[in-house]
Amino acid sequence: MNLTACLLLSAALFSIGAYGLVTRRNMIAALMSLELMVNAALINFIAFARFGGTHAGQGDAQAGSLFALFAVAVTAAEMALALAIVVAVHRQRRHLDIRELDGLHG
Amino acid sequence: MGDTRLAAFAWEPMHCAAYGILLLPLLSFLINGLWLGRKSARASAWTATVLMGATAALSIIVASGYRDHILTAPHLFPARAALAFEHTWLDFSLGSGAVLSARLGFYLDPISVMMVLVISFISFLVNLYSIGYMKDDAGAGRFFPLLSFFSFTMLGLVVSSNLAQTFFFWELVGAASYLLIGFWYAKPSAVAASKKAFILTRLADAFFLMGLLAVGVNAGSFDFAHLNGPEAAAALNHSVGAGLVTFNLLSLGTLGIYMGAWGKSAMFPFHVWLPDAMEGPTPVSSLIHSATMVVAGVYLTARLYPLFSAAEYTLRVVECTGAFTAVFAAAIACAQTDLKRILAFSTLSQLGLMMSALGTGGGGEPGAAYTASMFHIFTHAFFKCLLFLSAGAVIHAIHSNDIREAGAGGLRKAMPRTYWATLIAVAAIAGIWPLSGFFSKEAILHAALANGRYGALAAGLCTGALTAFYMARYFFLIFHGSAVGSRAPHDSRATHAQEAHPVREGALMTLPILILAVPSALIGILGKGFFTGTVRLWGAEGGASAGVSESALPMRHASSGSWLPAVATVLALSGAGIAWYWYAFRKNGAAFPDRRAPAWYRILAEKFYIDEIYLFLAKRVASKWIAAPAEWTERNIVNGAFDWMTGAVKRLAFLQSIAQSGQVQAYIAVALLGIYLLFRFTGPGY
Amino acid sequence: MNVRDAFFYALCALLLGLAVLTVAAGNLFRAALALLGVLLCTAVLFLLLQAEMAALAQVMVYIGGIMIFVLYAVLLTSELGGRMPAPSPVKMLLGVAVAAVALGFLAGLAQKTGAGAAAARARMHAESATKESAASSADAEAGVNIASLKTLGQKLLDPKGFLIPFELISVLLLAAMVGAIAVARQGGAGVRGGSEPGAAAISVKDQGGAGAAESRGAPP
Repeated sequence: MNLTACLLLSAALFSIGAYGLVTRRNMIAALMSLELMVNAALINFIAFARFGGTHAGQGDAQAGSLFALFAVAVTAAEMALALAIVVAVHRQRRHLDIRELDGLHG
Repeated sequence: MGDTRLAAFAWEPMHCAAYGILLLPLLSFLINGLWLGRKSARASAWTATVLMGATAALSIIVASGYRDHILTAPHLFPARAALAFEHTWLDFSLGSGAVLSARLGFYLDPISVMMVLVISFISFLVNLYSIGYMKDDAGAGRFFPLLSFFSFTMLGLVVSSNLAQTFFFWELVGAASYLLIGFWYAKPSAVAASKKAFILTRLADAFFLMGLLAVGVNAGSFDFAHLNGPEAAAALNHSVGAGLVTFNLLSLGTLGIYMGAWGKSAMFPFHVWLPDAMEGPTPVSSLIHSATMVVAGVYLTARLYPLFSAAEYTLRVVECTGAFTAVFAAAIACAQTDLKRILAFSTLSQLGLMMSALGTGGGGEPGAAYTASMFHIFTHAFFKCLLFLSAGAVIHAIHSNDIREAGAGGLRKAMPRTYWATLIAVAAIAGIWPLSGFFSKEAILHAALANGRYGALAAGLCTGALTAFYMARYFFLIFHGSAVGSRAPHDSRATHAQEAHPVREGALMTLPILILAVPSALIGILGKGFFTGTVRLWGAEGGASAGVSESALPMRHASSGSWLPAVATVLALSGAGIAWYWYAFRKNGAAFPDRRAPAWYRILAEKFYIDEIYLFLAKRVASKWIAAPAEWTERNIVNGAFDWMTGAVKRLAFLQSIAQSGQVQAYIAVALLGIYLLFRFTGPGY
Repeated sequence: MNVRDAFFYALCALLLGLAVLTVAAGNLFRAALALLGVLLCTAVLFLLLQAEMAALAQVMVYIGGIMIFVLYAVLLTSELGGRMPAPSPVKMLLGVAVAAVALGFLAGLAQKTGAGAAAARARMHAESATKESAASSADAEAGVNIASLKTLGQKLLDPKGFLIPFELISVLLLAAMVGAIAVARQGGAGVRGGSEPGAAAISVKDQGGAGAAESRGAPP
């Protein structure tokens, strides 16, 4: 268990989330993939807090934890809004297919 | 004279009156146009008339102030000119510190004061007359504000202290005449006539603008006081251009300015708009022909006369166009059957006479020419206005413009006052002693003789004879022509209309006619001394100031031309006598343009087919050889190129819009790849 | 490899497996449950990395708050037993490409960063060996938790620490809450037009109001 292992885990999680975000057709599923990516970022925060970075090895455990905390709060806000939009879209369109939601089509 | 700075003159009543002269007609226009005209046509008519009367009174104040304080002031002697007020409107830098100013001023000199008097007085009478004339017209509420506006623009024009102001009001006069000629806008012929007048004068005004810019920029000022001085003529008198194409700037500039006058005063190639302008109501025709609009051209030429007299070539053009138009229009007038058209061509002819008089000034006696021309403007304004107002009364009575129908009605008995007024005016324009026209025509002939311009002299004599003929014909056909009239095809209708509306001379319409008859008869005798004593001097100084003639200018005609009045009178009487023999004594109507009429008569009746030639030129030549290829080029090459360009842009945009699929996930993929590339290539050391 | 390492790697395997299930499950509810598992595993990982506060937040905010919300959304908008259609081959190819690029890039980065961090630590050890003053570092290495709940709480409310971001986050959350209510509410009543402030927040084709959109019926 070291920094490299944690970062690799995070990278894998992020890639899986990216794959889901790009391929999933359901809006909620895509949002869940997004959550995976955010989680990967959180893991990075904590890993650096625990093991320290490349510069002078001064891992500030408190700052890392607090950053993770703030990230969680921001994600909570984002998810609340995103899911509200999901509900509103579903109410109007009766579906959540991202492919059909192409109002920005040129 | 040398001194180009005019003394600012401050005699308080005159100062206020000068403002009032410009502001009262404008006020009338605004009040009646914006508010009163919609409420009550009658109230607006009286308001306009009262305000115009007040303007006339103010103009008398200005004139008396001018006479008492400027004419006799020794320090003002050379120019005899002053400014009642002047405000700077715009300043243009010419570089090197010189500034070209467009100002709004009130210029006082003999001819501007005279014109202010004439315009305000005649506008007032025409307003008074219109109250009766327009009584039953639905658009009367629209008429009076426009009439006031017309007077305002013309007053502003004649009091201009500089060319920029002149041009400004010049265009306003054009716009006002456009609105008034097309007053009955439901009539297609009126609309066509107003457009014709506007477009033709605009065409000429383009040259005017070029000329005034050339003169103003090169002389360094628009002010008449400067332009009429010797420095301006000297500054302008050099060649411009290169190689084979060189011009004398003085000739070019004055010719450009004269082109404006050419169009406005309807000299020969531009004359076609004036007869058509008869489509407007008769009071408008009367204003256009006597005091406003057409005399503006002559006035402008006279206003810049010292400058013009330095430009020999331009004066020659002025003389030739004037003399030709005088004879040409008089000949046409002999064969017309429309009352107002006869008068229109007579105006053309008289304007030609004035122009040719100005043009003869190149012969060494500029003062005499200038004086004669201004004198004729002055007298002509009265008797032409009188002629039109009487013609309007006749038209109002018989509801027709046709001279053959007028003859049927025995109008001599029904309208005695109009009859006598017309007789006075006809005799005046024909040049019968002692009426006003005699003296002013004589002055013009003398000027031509004194300057040695025998062509212009011959043209003047010929015009005099023709004028006497066609005016006598006009008079006899209207008031003595029963046998002729009965042949007219519209006779029954005319008689019927007459029975339905019994001929009556309304007091409001007769009063201005009677008032005008007095100056038409007497102004010649009274004005003779005034003009020969004073205006001659002004003109002389105008000429001397431009460095044309330094010699004194004696009244030479007294010694060398004593035969002239006799010859002119004999010619006029013989012309009138022929008309009397044909149209009143024999009453056979042999000269009407029907099938039996000789070819030359038909040509005259059709006005030398000038309109037809213009139409041919416009439709066949210009349209086919210029407009059609231009249109083809426009459609196929210019538009084609633009269509191709817009099409190409459209196709590019379409290509680009494919990327904008609206698919969020595609955007995400692209964004992620973009971030990767960003880090990959610009990241810190990775 | 000690027990802790073994547990760590097992946890990683579980986490990644659940993550794959999250993005690949045909049933939305099952995917949501897999995500729940991923979040739980992450919380355990945080504990393992001695970040109790983050672990608690993970459990409380994510699992207790957001996941419940997600489940509600799933239950509100889809049939529980329904299967989602598999992604089209083109899209799958795109996803794989994106994931591969991300993985390759991030893994390379992780290797370099890990190596760099190890080197830095070795350097620090060398310095501390000479200066005998690497207590905190030694503590961290020994697993002494310096990011305890108490110290974090003090840091959060310390004006010189994180007080201002902390307060700003509360404002952000409030705004998000209000926004979420506005967005979810508009169009729900069906009697109000699209003139409410939340209308513009929905970037879908038909913004002309709920009634109009509903009357238009099936999606294009």
